[in-house]
Amino acid sequence: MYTRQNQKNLTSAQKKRFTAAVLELKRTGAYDDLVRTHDKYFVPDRDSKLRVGHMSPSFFPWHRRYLLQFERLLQAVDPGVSVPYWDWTADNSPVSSLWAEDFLGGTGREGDRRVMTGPFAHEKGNWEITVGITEARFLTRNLGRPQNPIALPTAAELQWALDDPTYDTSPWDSTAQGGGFRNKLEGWAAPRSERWRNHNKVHQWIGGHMTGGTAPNDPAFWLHHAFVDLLWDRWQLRHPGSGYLPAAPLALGDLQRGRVIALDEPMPPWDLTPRDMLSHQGLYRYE
Amino acid sequence: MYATPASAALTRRTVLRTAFTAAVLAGTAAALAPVLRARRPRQTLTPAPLVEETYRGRNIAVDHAGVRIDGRPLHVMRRADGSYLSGINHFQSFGTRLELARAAVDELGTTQLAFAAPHHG
Ligand SMILES: [Cu+2]
Repeated sequence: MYTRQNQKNLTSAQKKRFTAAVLELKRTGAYDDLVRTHDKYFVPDRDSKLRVGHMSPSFFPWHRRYLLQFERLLQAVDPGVSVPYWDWTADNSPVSSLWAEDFLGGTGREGDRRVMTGPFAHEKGNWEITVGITEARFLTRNLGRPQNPIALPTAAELQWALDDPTYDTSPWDSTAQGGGFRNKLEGWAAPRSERWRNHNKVHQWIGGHMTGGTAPNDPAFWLHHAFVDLLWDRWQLRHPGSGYLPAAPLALGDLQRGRVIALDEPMPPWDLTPRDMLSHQGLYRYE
Repeated sequence: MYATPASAALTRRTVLRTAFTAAVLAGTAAALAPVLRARRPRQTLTPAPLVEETYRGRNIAVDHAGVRIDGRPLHVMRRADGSYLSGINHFQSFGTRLELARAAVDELGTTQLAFAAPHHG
């Protein structure tokens, strides 16, 4: 049992240990395998293929398992390290300590958006992008998107998702609008005045690699998704009578049959089901 | 400095190669494909783009086979509501492939797409 801490409370020694372990995974190639996994399992919902990671109910359990895989690799390097979380409703500025030289480094420079500070700056020689869809071999960011400004989600916006008592709803994809915590927090469902919310908006706010399928190239990915993981806990606590949906495989004739994961169906690439991921009790806790 | 999208709209040069462009982008590419084929000489290997424009100094070309930025293919995907996502924008979708391409340019800055990119499983 270990604790995932709020990143703002980490000591500089803890920050150093975390980033050192991440750099070690990069050196061995294990990190780039994780980046490939995320890209491979992004299936958009117009395709009639199985969707596990995004635009589907298993968004939360799939990413929980994915984060655990990363964290186990980190702990094999340094058993004292865990994945910190980033509460983007509170630490919502490009000058937050998260983006300082001693932690993740800051935004990209103008032009090619190259990150110039921190341990993941290309110039430091330890963070070469090998799984990308651009020619950039360096990490890119564009915090707050100054050319077309975007703000991080507010506490009220987050609460709007957490208040929904229904986990997810038909058609179980990015167009599920009738309600559903999952689509509101993943961020495809939004009021007409604003098209993107919560999780999706955070990817956009960071910019650069974080807007694409190879988003985990930016270590900020893990801190963002650790907070998303914590929010699933908060929703469960708030709605003790609600649970993961769909609870059973969809009926014959349902267009989403075979495309989304029900409670007891395995989530590739692992032989684990959403039920296996409903709780992390005994494994880790959030501070 | 980059121009804002609004001022860029005033300066960009959009070349419409066919009156059918709007309809093709709206999703009737299959229906119009024979018409488009008939307009091109048979020996043409690369069909002329349906829409080509310079946006923030980058060449965007959209045809029914795909989207290219400075000649490099942008991986295009669809959402269930018909809107478009790309390899650059996975967490935001756009009504047309031209808007999708411009958003990719906004995000790319001065970086080029790779000629060969990893694809989804
Ligand atoms: Cu994400």
